[in-house]
This record gives sequence, C-alpha cells and structure tokens, in this order.
Amino acid sequence: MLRKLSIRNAKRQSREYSLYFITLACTVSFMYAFNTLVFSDMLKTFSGAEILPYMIVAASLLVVLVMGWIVGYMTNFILKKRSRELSIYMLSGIPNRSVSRLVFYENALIGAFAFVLGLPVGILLSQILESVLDHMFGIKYTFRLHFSWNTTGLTLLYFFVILFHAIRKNRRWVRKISVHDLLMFDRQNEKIPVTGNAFAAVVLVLSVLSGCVGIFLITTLPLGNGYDILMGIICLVLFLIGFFQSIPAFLVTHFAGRNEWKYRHNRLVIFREFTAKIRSTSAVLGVLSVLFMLSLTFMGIGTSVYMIADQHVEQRVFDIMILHQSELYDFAAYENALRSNFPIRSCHSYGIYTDEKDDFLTVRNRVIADTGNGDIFLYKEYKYDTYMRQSDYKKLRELLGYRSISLDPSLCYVHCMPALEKDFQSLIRERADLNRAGYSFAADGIFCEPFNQMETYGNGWDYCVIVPDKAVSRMKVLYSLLAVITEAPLDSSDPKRIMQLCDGLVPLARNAAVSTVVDNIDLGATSLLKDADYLSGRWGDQDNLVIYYSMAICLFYLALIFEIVGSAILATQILSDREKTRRQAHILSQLGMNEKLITQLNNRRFTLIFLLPLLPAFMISGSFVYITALKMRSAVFHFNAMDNHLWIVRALGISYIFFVLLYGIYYIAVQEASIRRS
Amino acid sequence: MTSIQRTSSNATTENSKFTSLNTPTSHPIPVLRVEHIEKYYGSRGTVTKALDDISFQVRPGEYVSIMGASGSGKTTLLNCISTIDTVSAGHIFLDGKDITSIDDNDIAAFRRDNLGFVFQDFNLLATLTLEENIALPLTISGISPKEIDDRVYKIAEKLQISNALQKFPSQVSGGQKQRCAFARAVICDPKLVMADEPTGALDSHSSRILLEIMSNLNKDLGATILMVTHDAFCASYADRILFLKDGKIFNEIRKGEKTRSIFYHEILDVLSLLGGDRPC
Repeated sequence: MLRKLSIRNAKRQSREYSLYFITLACTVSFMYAFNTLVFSDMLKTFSGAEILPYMIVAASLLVVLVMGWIVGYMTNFILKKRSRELSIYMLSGIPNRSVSRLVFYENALIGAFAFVLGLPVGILLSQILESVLDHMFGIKYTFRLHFSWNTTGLTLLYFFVILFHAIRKNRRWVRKISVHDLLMFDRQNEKIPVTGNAFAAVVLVLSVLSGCVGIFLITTLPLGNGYDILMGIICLVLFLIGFFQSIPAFLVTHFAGRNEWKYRHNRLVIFREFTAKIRSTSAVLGVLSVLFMLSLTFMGIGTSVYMIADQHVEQRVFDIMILHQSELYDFAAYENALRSNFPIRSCHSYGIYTDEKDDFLTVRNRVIADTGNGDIFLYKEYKYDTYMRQSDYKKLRELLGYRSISLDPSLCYVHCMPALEKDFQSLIRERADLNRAGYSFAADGIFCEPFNQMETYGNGWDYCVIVPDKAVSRMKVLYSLLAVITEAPLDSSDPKRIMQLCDGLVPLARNAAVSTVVDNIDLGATSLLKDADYLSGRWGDQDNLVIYYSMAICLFYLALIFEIVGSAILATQILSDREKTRRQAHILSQLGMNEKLITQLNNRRFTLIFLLPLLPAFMISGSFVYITALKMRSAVFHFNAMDNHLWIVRALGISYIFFVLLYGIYYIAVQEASIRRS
Repeated sequence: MTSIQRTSSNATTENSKFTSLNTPTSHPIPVLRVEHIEKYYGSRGTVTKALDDISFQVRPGEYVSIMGASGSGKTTLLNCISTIDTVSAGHIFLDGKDITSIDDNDIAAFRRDNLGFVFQDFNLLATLTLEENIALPLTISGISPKEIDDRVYKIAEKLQISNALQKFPSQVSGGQKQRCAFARAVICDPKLVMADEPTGALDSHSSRILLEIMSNLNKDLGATILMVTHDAFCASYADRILFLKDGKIFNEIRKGEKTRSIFYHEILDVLSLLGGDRPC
C-alpha cells in the first residue's frame, strides 16, 4: 500500500515540480557528458591532457557538494509545501517511521526517474561536448554514439551521493516532525508583512560598501596574502545578507508612502508582492545570488581563457615551423617528408639574423617594464635586435595571404606586435640617424599582422627588423626556419605524426628555461636550444593549450550546473506560490481587473523576482571576470596580444548572453506554467 | 403555530407561487431584476439543478438577504448575479443591462463599475495594508491618487477603521478585516454590494458592529445590498429576506415597520417551516 502510494506521489511530484525534476535530469546529463572526458580515448592522444580528467573529477566533487545541499533543501521545501498532506497521513494513524519510508521511496523513485531520463540525454550531450573539444583541438569530428559503463558508473556514484545525502536529511526531518508543526507551516507562510524601517537604508548602504570592499580585496590583494581573500569573502557574504535583508524594508520605506507613485499603473500589487517575496525568501535569494555569481564568474573566466587560448593559436600563423639553429639550413629533407604525408600548399625556408645593435630591443624592454609585467626574460638569442631579409618577408606575407606591399630596397622596415607599434614609430621618428648597415628606416614602415612573434624562436621575439637583402651579409645567422602552410588545417595530433616522420625533430617547449634580471644583475641568459631541430607551428606548445582548454571546459561545466540548479530553485519557489497567486488573481478579477492585466502583473512580478538575484551576481562577477581576465592575460602574454580591453568586454558579453539565454528558458517556463495552472 | 401565523401576515408561501417579480414597487426601475433563471451542473447522466426558475427584483437602496439551507442554491445565485458564474437559462438585469449576455472581455469592467463584493474569508490581499486594500479597486479604475486618498479616508472613518489603515490584515482583528473588505466593496460606489456570509468568520461582537455599519451605510448612503447568510440574526438587519429551498424561492418576508427583534423571530419561524438548518 505504502509503495503504491509512493509511486503515485512520485508521479504527482514529478508533474507538480516538473522544472525541478527536469533540472535534476539535466544535472545527470551534464555529469555524464563531462564524465566521458575522464575516460576519453581521444584526450589520451594529446600531450598534457592527462590533467583534464583530474580537473573534471575535482569539478564534479564540487558539484556533488553543492548539489547535495541543494537537493536536500529542495526536497525539504517540497515536503513543507506538502505539510497538510503529510499531516493527514499522520492523522490517519500512519506512524512517522512509515511516512518517512514513504518519503524515502518517493525521493528514490524521483531520483531513479531523473537518472534514467538524464542518461540518454547525457550520451547525446557527450557527443556535442566531443564535437566542441574536437573543434578546440582542430580535429575533424565524426559522430559516433558511444555508451560507456565507466562513465555511467561514475555518474551513478555521484548522483547516488547527492540523493543519499538529501534523502537521509529529510527522512530524519520527517521522523522528528509533529502533526502540529506540519499544520503550522501553512500559516507561517501567510504572515509576511513588510514594514518600512529607516534603518534599512543604512544597512543597505553599508552592505553595498561591504560588497565594494570585498571585491576590492579579492581582486587587488592589497595585503598580498590569504587574509585578503578571507576578508574579501566575509565582506561579500555580509553584502549579500545585508542586501537581501534590507532591500524590502528600504523599498517600503521609500515607496510605500508615495501614493502618487504606487497608485498609478497598477504598481500597488506588484510593489507589495515583490517586497513580500524578497522578505520571505531573502536567505534563498542570497544563496541564488551566490550561485549565479559563481556561474557568471566561471562562465566569464572560462570564456576569457578560451579567448586567450584562441589568441595563442591565432598568433601562430604557420601550420608547421621547423627551426634549425645557428646557420642557414637546407630543409629539403624535412620538406620532402612533409610533402609526401601532408597536403602542403606552400613553404619557405629563411634565416633570422642578428647583429650587436639593440635600439629596438631597448624600447621593447622598456615597454614591457612599463606594463608592469615583472622581470624581463632574457634569452641568449635575444640579446640584440633580430632581422629578416626583405625578400623572405615578402614571400612569407604572400604565403599568409596578407596584402601585398612594396618595400623600398634601400630602406628598413619593422614587423612587430601591435603593442610596440607606437613606441617603435616614435623611435624611428626621433632617431633620424637610425639605420642598419647604412640603410635608414621607412617613415611609415611598421606592420603588425599576426606573424609568429608572440613567443620565442619565431620571426623574432615580439618584433623583427626587415632589412634589404644585402644588409644581412655581415650579420650572424641566429637560426633558420622552415614555414609551412597546409591545404587543410592540421589537427592537434599531427605534430606527433610529424615527429615520427622526421628523425631528430623535437617539440619546441618554450618558457621551459628562462633567466631573469633581478636588481639589475644579469643572472645569465639562457638558451633553450640544444643540438636538435625543433618543431612548432599552429599546434605547437600543446601542453599549455590543453591546460587552457581544460580550464575552460571545467569552468563551463561548473557554470552550467550552478546556473540550472539556481534557476530551478527560483522557478520552483515562484511556482510553489501558485495557490496564493491564483487566489490573488481571483480577488483582482472580482475587483474588476481583466485577465490580460492580471497576467501582465504576474509576468512583471516574475520578471522582477528573476532579475533581483542577478543584480549582485552581475555586479560581483563582472568585477571578478574583468580583473581575473587581466591578470590571466598578463600571466600568459608578456605583451598584450589583444589591442585593448574590448576582448574582456566581449568575453563578458558572450558569457552573459549565454547565461541570460539559459536563464530565459526557466523564466519562460515559469510564465507558461503559471498561465497553464491559473 | 404562533410564529407561523406571524409569518403568514407578510409572506408569500411556496404553494401560492412566489411572485415578487410582479410585486409593485415604489421605484419604477429596480436595480436588479432576476427573471426565471435556471442553473444546471454536471454532465450527461448526472445533472443537478442548482437554481430552478428564480425570479425577483431588488430596488435601489434596498437591503435584501437570501437565506436557505446548505445546498439550497444561495451561493450559486449570488455567483450568477455577480457574473462569477453563468446561468443555464433566464436573464439577470442590473440597472437595465442584461448581464447574462455580457461579453467575456467586458465582464471585468462591468464588475469594476457596478458590483462590490464581501466574502466570509475577507479576501483581502495579505501583503497590502488595509488602506491599500481599500484603495485597490480605485487604482484599478485609474482614479487619481489624491482622490483615492480622500475616498479611502472618508470610508475608513465611516467604518471605524481609520486607526488601522497602516496595518496589514494579519495585524488586525477579524472584524476590522471584514470592515476593510466592506469598505473596499463600497468605495467605488457600486450599484449593488453582494455579501456572502459576511459574518461567518466573526465573533458576535464584531458581527454586530459590522452589521450595524452595513445597515447605516445602507440607510445613509443608499447602498443596495444583497446578502447571503445562514444566520437569522444577521439576516434580521435586512429589509427583506428571500428563502431558498432546493434551488427555488420558497418564501419571502419583509421587515416593514417591525422591530428587528420581531423580524428576527419571524425569520426563525420561516426557517422552522423550511425544515432544516435552523440556526441558534
């Protein structure tokens, strides 16, 4: 009998709280999809990708922790809403223990339904995720539905832990609760007057100030230690508590007395219902705000990381580059091996030269020092300016499909990172005598397209002086390069193949050994290059790239889960008031308000409730993302590869739009459900 | 026996077929005219006749009460008159307009302009203060805030709730809540105020205060009131009482020049005649 009842109840609960139930199923889907990466064979082929499974597991544990609490809270919330029904069971003589068992069966059934529903969707999602990953790593995606027992087992384990915690907590609650307490829940919910309070304005101002201080502490770390973060978090928590506790009373204090305002445009009901809702759910709204803040922050930082990784790839304009040090080298053997295995469109071998002049290097070092990016890295090869012949430069531009330019054979030019253009321009303008091997510099001869200059051992490091061919006759060859453009883009597994094809070729691991100048003392310039030829190109430096992408994936994973869970809580909170909303609509209808207007009022109320937790979330996450993205950029690029801060605005914009779209689905679902139920 | 004799002097019994529709009135145009309405519930096979050929009129400024046992059709009748429910047959005219043919889109505006409601469970919005609850219908009608303030304070004074205007429903007594609900019902000066068991949730003291106020408003402002009640004491405040039984008007009595006490006993006698649900 109890089992039959629990099956019927579980079905009813699934219908009644369908949004929450669907979210539970979505969580299973996301967990399954991301857990496939833990056992992915594709990732095993990438060097450095070993870290991603660990990152996913860590993220999943965080999800389990948060979801455990949230599912527990939501189950309890639903039970409280069913307090009258539970009290009837108890009044009918069913002992608490049996009611508790009934609740256990119900939750277990709902969980099992959610798992069974979420799993197939998860399998589809895992394919979408794989296609995204393939796009990231430049691999051609082929659709293949794959069911993994390992992934299913891991997902089941996580989901079981989440449900177990929630069910155990609520079983205990049901066992202890009395009939009287259950009957009182309904009444407690009804008493929610919000009165004005002059003190509320002070609390609100103080809480906003606390929020600002919190953001300042966490983003700037003025003390330079862990206390900054600890105090920052305390300040933000105080902000959220103060904000949601004081905002209803603040609104009432400032607007309830303004009859001119509140009696117009049917604001009265919305205003009062809105403030009452905030008051009765301030703690939940605070938690939701934290969830949305985390989601937006993770999404924003994830997008920034992705853009930085993309920028990395974009700067590597050549598909394959092979470096031979100290001399001009005949790359014919490599070229032949490549041509016979890859569709090569064109290639060119050339030399990078140096002499003992450092005018441009000095300016470049000064610019780096001005950006505050710390010590200047020193490499043996980059103690002086680097050069390229005009004929090589022209050929490379042609290879890359850049606009053709006419170079005066009696003048020198510069190709550099955009961040250096202005200062190099000043140098050339101010130093009329500046020349290389007697050739002076063209007045407007600076070019800034991506040119494999962002990292060492490319076409110079950050810049390269383009000199007439004759000018290099007395210069030293720093290294020679083979630049290759392929017909079809290579994928990230190709470097491994190339190294298997070409003996003696090793991957170029940049930034592995650098020396620095500390307190003006040169600790010794270091060269990375040993007696080998080095492979780089679009998919060179894969380790770093994999870490960036792994970070982005994990952050998106967490962001998605936090957002859908937060939205589901909010939606369930709103929809659980449907009886009250329906009664209110009935009264308004009796008072002569037409149906259309009542629906409009409800929609406006939903909109306000949906927007409120977003306000602090947008404010805090915006600052976090902005500061974090700047710091990441400084850590990754010693020069700003991006022209200005617009890329951060873009990253923020993309993540906010994505967030709002997903959030909008819940908003529309609430509106639809509300209309359907009324 | 005595009571039945007393009743018969002013009442028309079911046997003689109730004909208040044709009763001559001092006012040529009744504010409410109910003509042969019928109401059926249910579907094929299980049809329940809730109202059976009911006809009566209410004059402007009249205070009419409808009494009857549970299931006699009182609330159904009130719902049909208040446009909350529709009739299966017949017509209801309010101020000459047939409300059974009003378009769905116009019903809200019709209620706003013509009807006021008072319910047993008050139907106040818990999140609004008493002042705001009273002002609500005026805000819906788009009245200027200044005029709203004036009207709210005037009616609150008449209903003796001026000192509770800034309080929420949960902070005041049942009597104050119901007076607030009554104030909200009459603030738009409706053609007809309908009250469904207005004292049902009140103690005797609060009931008495409310009934006195309703009676005064009826006399002073000429508010037309149609009240459904179980309670003979409550009904005794009305000018006229219609008794329903099994969906039909069983009887009608008028207060006339009688004292309320005598009228009360007369009501009790009719209720005895009705044969059930006799109140204490």
